[in-house]
Amino acid sequence: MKRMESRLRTFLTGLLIVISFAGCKPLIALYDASAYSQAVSIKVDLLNLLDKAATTEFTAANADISMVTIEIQKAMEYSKGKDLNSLSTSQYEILLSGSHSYKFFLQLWEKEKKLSKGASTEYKETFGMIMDKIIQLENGKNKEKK
Amino acid sequence: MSIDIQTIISTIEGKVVDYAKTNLTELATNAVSDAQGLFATIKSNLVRRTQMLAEGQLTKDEFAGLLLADADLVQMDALTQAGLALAKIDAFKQGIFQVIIDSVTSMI
Repeated sequence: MKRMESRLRTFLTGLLIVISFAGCKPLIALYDASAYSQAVSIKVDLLNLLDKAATTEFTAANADISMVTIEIQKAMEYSKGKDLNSLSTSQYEILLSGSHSYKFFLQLWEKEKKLSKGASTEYKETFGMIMDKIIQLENGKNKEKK
Repeated sequence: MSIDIQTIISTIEGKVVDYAKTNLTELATNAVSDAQGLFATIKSNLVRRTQMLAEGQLTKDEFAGLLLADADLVQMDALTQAGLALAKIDAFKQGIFQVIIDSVTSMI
């Protein structure tokens, strides 16, 4: 009887250890403060760029456009380099894609030379929300236990 | 010291069910609420921008570009919700294992 209880105790302890290790593999990357900071910085610079689209001709805004686009590219590369981070990477890929709205906005700005004030305001609203989704995802990831 | 395996299993079962009810209900509620909020935003955007187009405050190309931006917003939201769900599942798994570990260690 005592031997059986001892074996049961050993079994339960072993089961605990197996469960602990089996449960460790995550489904998504942990929160990354650098990634969060990048997303916030892009949001601010992108909104400023959208403001400029109504007041500045496209050719005069090339430096600002390049800065924002490169910021997004850097954020995407940073995201791609992390394991279990494909959803965040996909979000940046949408921003940089030639068939999505950011590139369309740039082409529109070039075509019209300046956007209407109404368009600038509306784009700020929607792109603000788009960046908020990226920030929300990063902020919603689990924090590393200390 | 005797170990009542049946009691351990019953205790764990009860705690796991309580933990699951609390955490999974919250996940489902938040997802529904977010989807409703986004739908309301898209609808309101469309109404307002159609009016702006009619009044000449937007060109046709600008209107089209904004529609595309809203489509991207929906896609972004789907990715965010998927990621938040995965993070919740990870946290939930850790929580369940902790419930089991705490229950068993308190009884060994």
